[in-house]
Order: sequence, then structure tokens, then C-alpha cells
Amino acid sequence: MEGLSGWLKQIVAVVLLAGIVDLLLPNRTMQRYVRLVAGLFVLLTIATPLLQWVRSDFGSKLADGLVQTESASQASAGELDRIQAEGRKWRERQQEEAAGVVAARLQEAIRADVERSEGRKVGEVLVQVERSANGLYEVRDVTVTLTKQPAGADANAQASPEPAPVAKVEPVAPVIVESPQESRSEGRNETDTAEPDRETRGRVASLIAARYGIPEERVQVVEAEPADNRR
Amino acid sequence: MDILQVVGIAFLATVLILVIREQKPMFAFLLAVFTGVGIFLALIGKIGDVVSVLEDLAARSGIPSVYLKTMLKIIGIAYIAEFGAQIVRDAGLESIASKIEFAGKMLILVMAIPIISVIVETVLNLLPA
Repeated sequence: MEGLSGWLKQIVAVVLLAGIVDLLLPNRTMQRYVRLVAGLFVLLTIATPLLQWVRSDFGSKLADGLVQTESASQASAGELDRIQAEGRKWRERQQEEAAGVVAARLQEAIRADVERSEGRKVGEVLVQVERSANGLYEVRDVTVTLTKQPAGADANAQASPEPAPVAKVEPVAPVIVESPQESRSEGRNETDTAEPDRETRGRVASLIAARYGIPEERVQVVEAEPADNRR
Repeated sequence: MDILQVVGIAFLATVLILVIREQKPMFAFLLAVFTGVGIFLALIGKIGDVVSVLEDLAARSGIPSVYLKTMLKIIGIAYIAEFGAQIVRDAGLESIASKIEFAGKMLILVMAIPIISVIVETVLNLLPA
């Protein structure tokens, strides 16, 4: 309303000015020219709002204003939630990775300890870690798979599955066959895995419980099929 | 009162010029020029009053001062051109008088060029490219 009244005042003043100038002119010869200029001034005054609108790039200003008003209302509420959710996700991922690393190291340590104490090769140690209700990770169970090979045969047995040193496998094979554990477990060849005798199981479980604080009932000891190892 | 003085001076100068013109046309011309300049300068102060009123009007209504300046320049050009042209015409040189008027018209149109360019630019911006 303020702008409109100012605009009208300007138009009236310019028309008045043009009239006075027209009166002041000395003679008729200059009158047409002065009237032209005065008319242009009146036209310019009438078109001033239009001029401002055209020059100020109205469309992009309007778009910018709309974007700003929309983002201002949503950003403060949504952004914090989004950042917190992102932080929770990264924290969980980090904890899972840490649990995985701990489980792998635990597996290696248990394997080394059991091999040292039992004097034979351990096929596989599986440590399963799960998240408890209070958000901490704990060991759910440990599965130790014992083999019949003595610990000394470790290097050769590991090399056997590789295709390149096929020649090395040949001299090793008789050594495995002659081992005392091999002959002892001959009768249980049919099954994939078998229960070792209670004494071995108790020994391994108590070793793990003493070293790592894992309750004995969570430790499972199985014995791998001997034929599987010889392959 | 002023108008009586102006008319008196003008009558006196006219009589003098009519007397002198037969013997010395050159002095008659000079007398006419000085009389005209004198009356013009005497009334400059009155023009100042009018201009101050116009400036006040422009300042109150908020029209740009460029508009008023241009208008006043146009009036000044018109007056000066008219004054010179009439003196030259009195001396009997019609062709030079018309050249002075032509110069005045041209200068007035030159002052209108910025306004015309602004209006044309506005109209072109309004139309879609």
C-alpha cells in the first residue's frame, strides 16, 4: 500500500512538472521536443514498478525463498534424528567388527593352546560370539574339532591341499598312517564327526575354561573324521 | 512593478534603436542585444523561485532528481537557443537563427536518449525471448 501511494504521488508530480515545463517554454518551435521528453518521463514513472520487477530476476528470487522456507522448517527436526541414527549405525558396525576380530584371535589362541597340550593337530576352532541383552558381546560357545594328526605333521598336512607341491605329499602319507591315533580311531570311520572320549573332552574344556574364563558347558569338543584329513 | 520597469526599459531601448538605426546600424544592434540580456538577467531571479518550487515538489513526491535536472536543462537550452536565435533574426540573418534553433532541438533530443534506452530495454525484457 505504501509503494502504491508513493507510485501514484510520483505520477502526479511528474505530470505536474511536465505541465509547468510546457508553460515555461519560450515559443512553439521547441514545444514538440520538450513534450516528447516530458511524455517519456511520465511513461518511465508509470513503468517504474515493472522495471524493478524485471531487473531483479524475480523468478530465481522466488525459488530461493521457497527453498529456504521449506528447509528451515524441516532441517532442525529431521537433521538431528538423521545424524543420531547414522551414529548408532556406525557404532554397531564398529562393535561387530571388534567382536569379529576378538573371535578370530581367540580361535587362534585356543588352537595353539590345545595343540600344545594335546599334542595333536586341531582341525578347526569355532568361536561364536553373540550380543547379550545389555549390549555387550559374549562367547556363546566354542567348538574345538580335534584331528588324529600329531601336531608335528602340521606343515605337511596344510601343504597337501595345494596343487603345486604334489610330490611332497607322497612321502608324508605313510607317516600319517603309522601314527598311533590313526589306528585307534579306525573303527569310527563311518561318521563325519565323532565324540572324543570323556577324558580328552574334559581336559580340553577345563584348559579353555582356565585360560579364557569360558564356562566348560559352552565348550564342545568333536573329533574330525580321519579320512577327511588324509585327503 | 517589475513588469512596468521591464516594459519601460523596452520602450526606451526601442525608441533609441529606431533613432540610431539610420545613422549607425551597428550600434542599434548592440543596443538591442544589451537590452535583451539586461531584461533576461533581471528576471533570472524569478526563474530561481520557480525552480525552487519545482525542486520542493520533486523532493516531496519522491521522483528521482535526475528527472527534474533533465527538465530544467531542457528549459534552459530552449530559452538560450530562443534568445540567441531572436537576436540573430533581428540582425537580419534568418538562416543562422534557424541553425541555432536546430542546435537547441538536437541538444534536447540528446538529453532524451537515456530515457528512451531505458524504456526500450524494459519493453524488450518484458517480451519473452
